[in-house]
Amino acid sequence: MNQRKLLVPIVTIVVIIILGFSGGNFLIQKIGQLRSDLEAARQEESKLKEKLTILTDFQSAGSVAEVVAASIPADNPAVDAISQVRLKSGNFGVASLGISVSKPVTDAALSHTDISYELQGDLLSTISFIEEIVKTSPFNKIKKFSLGSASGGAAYSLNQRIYFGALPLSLGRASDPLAAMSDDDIKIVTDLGNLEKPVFTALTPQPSRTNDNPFGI
Amino acid sequence: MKTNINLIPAELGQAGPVVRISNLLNSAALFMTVIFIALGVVGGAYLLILGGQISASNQAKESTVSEIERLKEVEAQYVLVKDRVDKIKPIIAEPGAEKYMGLFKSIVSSLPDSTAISEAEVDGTLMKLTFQASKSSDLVNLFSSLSQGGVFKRVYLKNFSFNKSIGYVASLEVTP
Repeated sequence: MNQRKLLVPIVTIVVIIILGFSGGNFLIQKIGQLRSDLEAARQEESKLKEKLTILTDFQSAGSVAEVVAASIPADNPAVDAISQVRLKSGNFGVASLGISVSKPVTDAALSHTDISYELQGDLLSTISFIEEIVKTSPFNKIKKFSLGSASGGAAYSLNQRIYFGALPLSLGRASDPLAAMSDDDIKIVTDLGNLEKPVFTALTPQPSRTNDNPFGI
Repeated sequence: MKTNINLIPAELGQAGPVVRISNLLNSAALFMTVIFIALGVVGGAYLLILGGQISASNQAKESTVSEIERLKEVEAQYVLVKDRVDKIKPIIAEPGAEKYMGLFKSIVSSLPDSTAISEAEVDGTLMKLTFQASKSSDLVNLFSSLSQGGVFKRVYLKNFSFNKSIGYVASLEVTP
């Protein structure tokens, strides 16, 4: 009788301890897993919200992509660059005598082409012209400027480099994170946007004139 | 044969050690059961709260993803701009002659009438300049102005000569 009185609470305590250990262990593991799941979900949510903010801000900034793509296009922009040089040289009274375009050098990042110009004119005007050329689109860098004497006056040689490259083809999933632009990146975009775009004249097609008497009879 | 006869009713008798231990164990068992149930309830509630928070976060994610999908065109433009910027950044950092054209202009514009530049080469790293002057004092003034401004890291006199017909000729290599 006395032994039975002791047995019931002892069994209860043992059962509670066993259940407490196994159940507690399970509960702690489950809570840990859910907390890490929640942390991961919140991090992903935060990244997505950041991406959305980036895109919304970019949308409100206007059509930057078009300007940037024109500055560093997919195809070789040698014609645009030469057009800009011809136009600007006229403005500064500098004569562009010879133009030669090198074979494009392909690169994984951006390919480039060098354009060489033979120029003639006043030295200070030529320097001002070069300073102006680097402010025009497509994006270009002056690799070398040299001055030598020629029979018809001072002759200058200018080596300009222009850049181009394939556009990105894949976009990735909507849930993929997007790298934000740094202050340096924004400055580059602004600088590229400020480059003077090439001006092309669109010719209006004229209707063909009918010749009533084609054989002159 | 000896037998123990107790005529006092059990409820009036003194509790033995077994009964006291039994009571203690009963109390402990009850206390542990209450604690076990309470912790179970709290743990279960916390699991439900965590589950709810995960579900709310997932819903917010889905809503954000659908908003991002609506801005697919903007994203394409952004990716294009970022791609161009990342690729042009190292090229912008490369030295270019355009950086020194302003400096070259200031040298040319400050030359006296009796001094001229006969040859020049400007690239991203240095300027090679050849001056002609009828008076040596003009070249001395030019050298001192080039070396004093603190604009150039190095001014290196490569060649110096005198020719009766053209005067003094000095070739310099200037590193900005």
